[in-house]
Parts: sequence; C-alpha cells; structure tokens
Amino acid sequence: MKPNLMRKKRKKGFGLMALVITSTFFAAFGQYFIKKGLNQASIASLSDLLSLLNFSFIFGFGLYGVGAVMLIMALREGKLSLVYPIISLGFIWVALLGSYLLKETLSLANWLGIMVIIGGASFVGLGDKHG
Amino acid sequence: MSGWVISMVKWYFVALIIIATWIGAYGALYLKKGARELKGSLIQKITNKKIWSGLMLYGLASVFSLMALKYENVSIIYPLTSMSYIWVALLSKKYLKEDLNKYKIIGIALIILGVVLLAK
Repeated sequence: MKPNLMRKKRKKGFGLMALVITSTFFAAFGQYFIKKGLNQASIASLSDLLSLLNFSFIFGFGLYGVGAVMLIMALREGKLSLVYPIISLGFIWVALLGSYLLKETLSLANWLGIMVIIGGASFVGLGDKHG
Repeated sequence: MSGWVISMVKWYFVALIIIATWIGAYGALYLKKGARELKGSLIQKITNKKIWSGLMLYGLASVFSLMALKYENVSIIYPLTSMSYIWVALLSKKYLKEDLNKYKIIGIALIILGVVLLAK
C-alpha cells in the first residue's frame, strides 16, 4: 500500500479510537448523573415519579445519549474487536465515579468482577471478527 | 439468615438486568435491520417500523434497568449491562448466521463469571 494511504488509515484509526474513548466518558458520566438523579427522587407512588424530572436525571440521559450517538458513528466504521473492550473500560470510570462521588462500596470480588468482564468483552469482541 | 436474604436480593437485581439486556439486544437487532432498510423519502425513513420498534424496545429495557438502578449501586449495575454481549452473540447466531467461535464462548463464560463476582 502507498505510504500516504497507510498514513491516512492510521490517522483514521486513531480518530475512531478517540471517538470510542470519548463516548465511554460520556456514557460513564451519564450513568453517574442518572444514578444521582435516581437517588434524589422518590418512587413510592405514581405521583412521586415526577420527582425523577430533576436536573441530574435529565442531564444524565442527555450525556448518555451523546455517548450513544458517538458510539453509533464509530461502530459504522470500526471493528467490534477493539470497540467492545474499550466500551467495557467505561465500567472502571463508573466504578471510580461511584466510589468517590456517590460513596458506593465495592468489594474486592466486585472489582475483580469488573476486570473479568472487561476480559470477557475483549474475547467476545475478538470473536466477532471471525477469530 | 440475613446473609441469605441479601444474596437473594442481589440476584433479583441481576434478574432485572438480564431482562433489560435481553430486551435491549432485540432492540439492537431491530435497529440494525431497520438501518439496513433505510430508503425512500424522508417521511418513509422517519416512519421506519423496525427502527421505531428497536427504539421502543430500548425504552422498555431502560425502564427495567432504572428499576434496578434505583436500589443498587451504579458501579454494580452498569457492568452488568455487558450481559447484552451474550444475548447479541446468541441472537446473531440465530438471526444473522454468525457462528459462536471459541473466542466468543470464552468471552461469554468470563462475563458470566464477572456477573457472579459482582453479585457478591
């Protein structure tokens, strides 16, 4: 392949990875805000459901939506073998956000579970390219 | 005694996410099929049945996820959504003729192990 073409492909690859990684940040923060909004709301009765319409909850969905759109754009051109594992790295961001900002407790087994899932997602992604 | 109750409750949340990801996987399938058939005028594209079905399935799936998310940590619930990879692999085998190879099987096994560890 001509060197210029190879350079273009590599640039495209980096751009794609940057898009996917950015989308995981949007998704992670989206999940954080959705959880924050849920914590602030009460759902004891049907009328209470309106309390879900708080800033955090709606903002969270917005962020998550932006992340989803970015991911769809990336998936059109990218290979799942790389996209799946990067998406699952988002679980680490959420775990960190949850631990530090929402004071959620994660046991060692829980953290191990997240790592194992990242591994599992990587394998499934790998398998998608007819590995 | 209470430990048993706690683990039962945790598995209730796992069950909710299983339902959510299962519905979501069908949503993804409909969206994928609908996207392939996007043609015609703008009106025809906007009223694509498969795309709307897919979006509604996603909406339904998120209701189940939110039910779990209300009472359990997001650090636990969010990784559980990776179970959708399992369903997508199975549905792809059934509807898109994409076979399960050894990598997918290992991956599915690892995801299941991860889910068990997260439910502890």
